[in-house]
Amino acid sequence: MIRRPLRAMASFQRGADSKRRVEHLAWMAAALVVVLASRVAWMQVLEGEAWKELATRNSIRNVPFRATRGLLLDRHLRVLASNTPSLSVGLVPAELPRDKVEAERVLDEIAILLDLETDEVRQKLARQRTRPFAPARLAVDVERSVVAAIEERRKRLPGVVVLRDTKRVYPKATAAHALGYVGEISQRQLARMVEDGYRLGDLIGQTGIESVYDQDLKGVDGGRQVRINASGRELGLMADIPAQAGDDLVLTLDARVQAAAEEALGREAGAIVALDPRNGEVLALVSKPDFDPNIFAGRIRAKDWKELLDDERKPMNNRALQGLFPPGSVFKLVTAIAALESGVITPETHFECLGIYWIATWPYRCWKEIGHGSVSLDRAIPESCDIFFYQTGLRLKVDRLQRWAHELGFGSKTGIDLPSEAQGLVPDPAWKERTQQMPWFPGNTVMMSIGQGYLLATPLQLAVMVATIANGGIRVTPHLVKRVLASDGSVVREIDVPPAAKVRIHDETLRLIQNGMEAAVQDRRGTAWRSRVQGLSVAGKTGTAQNPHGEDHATFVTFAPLENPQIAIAVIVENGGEGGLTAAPMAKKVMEAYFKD
Amino acid sequence: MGWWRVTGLKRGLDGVLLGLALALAILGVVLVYSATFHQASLSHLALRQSAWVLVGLIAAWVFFSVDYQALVARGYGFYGVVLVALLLLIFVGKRSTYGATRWADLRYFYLQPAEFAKLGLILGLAKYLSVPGRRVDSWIALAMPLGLGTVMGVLILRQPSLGTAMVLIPITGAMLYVAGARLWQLMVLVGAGIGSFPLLWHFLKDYQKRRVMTFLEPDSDALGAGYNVIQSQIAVGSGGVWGKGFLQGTQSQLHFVPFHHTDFVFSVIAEELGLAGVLLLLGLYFGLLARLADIAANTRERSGALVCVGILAMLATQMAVNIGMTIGLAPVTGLPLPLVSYGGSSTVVTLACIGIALNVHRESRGA
Repeated sequence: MIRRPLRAMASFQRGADSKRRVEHLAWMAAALVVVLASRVAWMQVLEGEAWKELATRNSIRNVPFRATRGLLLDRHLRVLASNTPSLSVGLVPAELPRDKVEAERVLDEIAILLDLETDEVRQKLARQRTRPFAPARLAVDVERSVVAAIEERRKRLPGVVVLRDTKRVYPKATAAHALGYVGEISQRQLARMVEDGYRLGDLIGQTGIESVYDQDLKGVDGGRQVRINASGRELGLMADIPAQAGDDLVLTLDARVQAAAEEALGREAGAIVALDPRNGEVLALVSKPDFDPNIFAGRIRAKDWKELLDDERKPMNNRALQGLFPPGSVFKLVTAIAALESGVITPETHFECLGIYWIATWPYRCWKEIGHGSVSLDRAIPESCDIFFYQTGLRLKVDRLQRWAHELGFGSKTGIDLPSEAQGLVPDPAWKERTQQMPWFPGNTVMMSIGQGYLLATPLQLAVMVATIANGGIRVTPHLVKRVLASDGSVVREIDVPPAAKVRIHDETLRLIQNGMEAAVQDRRGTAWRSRVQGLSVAGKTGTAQNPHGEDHATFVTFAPLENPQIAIAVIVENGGEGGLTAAPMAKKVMEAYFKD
Repeated sequence: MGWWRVTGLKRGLDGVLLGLALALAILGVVLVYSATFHQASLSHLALRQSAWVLVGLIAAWVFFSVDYQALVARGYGFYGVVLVALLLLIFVGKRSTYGATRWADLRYFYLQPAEFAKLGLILGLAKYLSVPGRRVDSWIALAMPLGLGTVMGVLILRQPSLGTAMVLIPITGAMLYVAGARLWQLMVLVGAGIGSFPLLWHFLKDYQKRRVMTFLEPDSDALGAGYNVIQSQIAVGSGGVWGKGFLQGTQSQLHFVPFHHTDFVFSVIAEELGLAGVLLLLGLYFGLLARLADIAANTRERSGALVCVGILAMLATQMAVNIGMTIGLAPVTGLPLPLVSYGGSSTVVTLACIGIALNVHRESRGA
């Protein structure tokens, strides 16, 4: 206790000078307070009347202009999304006539001109309540004839302004599900995103790349601030801020491969995903039926919107990453890897296929009714013998099978940079007990080992699985963006390849699987011969997923070339029947487009 | 003497300082209430601000109860922790280039460390400057304290928060001045700083300037900022001598003035309570600042005096810049009005500072 005052005394070199200096600071603080008080008093007492006049007749108009949205480019810089000028009509709430009847007349008149209900106009104004000096957009992408009609009636329409906007265009109308589309920010989005600098009336990406990378694409809006007189005429400019264009995105997509994949699927429902197995770059991502993103860019007609939403084929669904399908026989690749890695089979293990296999009194059939005879792995993969895999599955048991399914990416999201990815389902006994109050039967394992039963996967997961097999066990994270460019073309930043997981599989195992897949394509008896491409060593696996609701789904996974894989593809055709018949030829078209230069 | 020491609350408590701070905090809650009165989505903020005041009072009590010299003795530690937090933010901000939420992440955090940074700098400087026999009257001797301020300032600029970074300058300046730095040297430094800025600015290209500006203050799209200032000036000017009455301000209640519960809260009191309200508010601030100066001048212990001076400089600057911005005398930088603006970290840190000053006062009366 006694030491501290002593220490304080020792360090006490202050004295009068230091004390005086603190006083100086106090005087400065006092001066600040006096300056502020004087300025406020000056404004409130001497200038008060003028400010009050402004407060009652606030006469400032903000005319914002939207920033040009960044372009979306494919990997070879082909334009996938750009912008074109368009006109919008807005109404500045603060400039409406004070007289209620007169204001109503303006609302009615502009509603008729724009082909809107007066109530719609009122709602849009109400939403603008917090910013009464900025125009509320009543209609976007307005035709020139309508704008001309408004200009003619300018005097009768105080508060109505014509705004120069741009609208988004997708010149190729391709990859709608990957790119997404833009639309005006909704109330709900605004509530969530207001802290990120979003404001009422902003255009924002509603799904896909447009939504995930909106911050890069949107740029910074500009605007002018003008003083106006009572009739809305602009008297003087107070501020003029140019808009800054958003950044462009270079995507991993290859427009040519994408187009080939879209054409290959044609009018079928389903999905095709093509990845670069070396790094997870998405070369093509197709979901059919699709939609034309251009219809959202301008003024979407209620009819179009309703048609899209009511369509039973659900064109807005991104089947590539939201569609859940039983993978069917393509899953046999997983079963085979699990079995080889766990040592329950070797390349020499043979099983007898007589076309039917009994577990107690339950018959399980092979797709080939007369049976394959004595089969080992080297024939089981290309000829897709079900009974071989039933018995393999029974030796494996469900826990090892589901563990390897997880290892190869089933049952969890791939982490692609697109919203609303589904995670699929890898069933296990605990899950079945929980959801169905029933124990796991050996029959469940049997069905799972050929990719049927409760197992559900997205086409994207299948693509990642086959990419993992192709590249030697690296479970890549699929992604769609390579780099961000400023509007002058300089690189803002490179998007790093997202981290990939290393799956521990022996090279020998992978070689066996890859050879089996190659045989499926190249062998006389292989199920995938329809995916052969002249001069290319293609490896693939077909699947035909039984569908309790109708015709089977056709599935196919493939990669090429065998020696140094550059592309991995998954195809699912809803109700497409046999994978080898329907899906394999589609993958062939995609590969042809990719390897044609 | 331990780090923690339970102290009777009343013993040596400076009722004047505490009373002034409390009065400002209560006025703040009332103004936030008025500012958000007609906005259902924000109407919970007055209650939340009262909660922040309570948290702040607890923080003040803690800082009042500990041994402040022990706090100062760990000054470098505090400075270091804040520095690491700021660095970490930059690291995290850079790492999450993937996906769309990185801005939200960054912005969600940026306020907080920056608020604590000011206190960290004050304690760090106090520790350095209170070492017995420390001299700060030569250029070389000035290098270390200036370095402390600059490093933290640069990191805060990266947050980005131009306003908070600027507050570090008067804090450092005032503490150096009281520690005995030569006035002409400080003047030269300030002059050099002001002089080099336009020079630096001159070398930037137009688009770079715009980028720098949006980088430093993302909210200040000038259309917005210019608009805000004009609207808040109209609010202040139209308040008159007696104001339009509580909850009656047309500018504020009609939401012509944006951010009126945070950065532009001054326009609410000016419009609704008029010059009378403004003089009350400024009077309270003056009392608070004078009291802080008083405590600094009357303690015989060097580090305590320095801490109080730092706090004084911080509060005076924030008050002046914030009110100045509202009436068009200072650029829009987004600094809160201390103890009055809505905002958790600002309120808590400011009250914690008051707690330290109360502590210094108690000790100066001889424990």
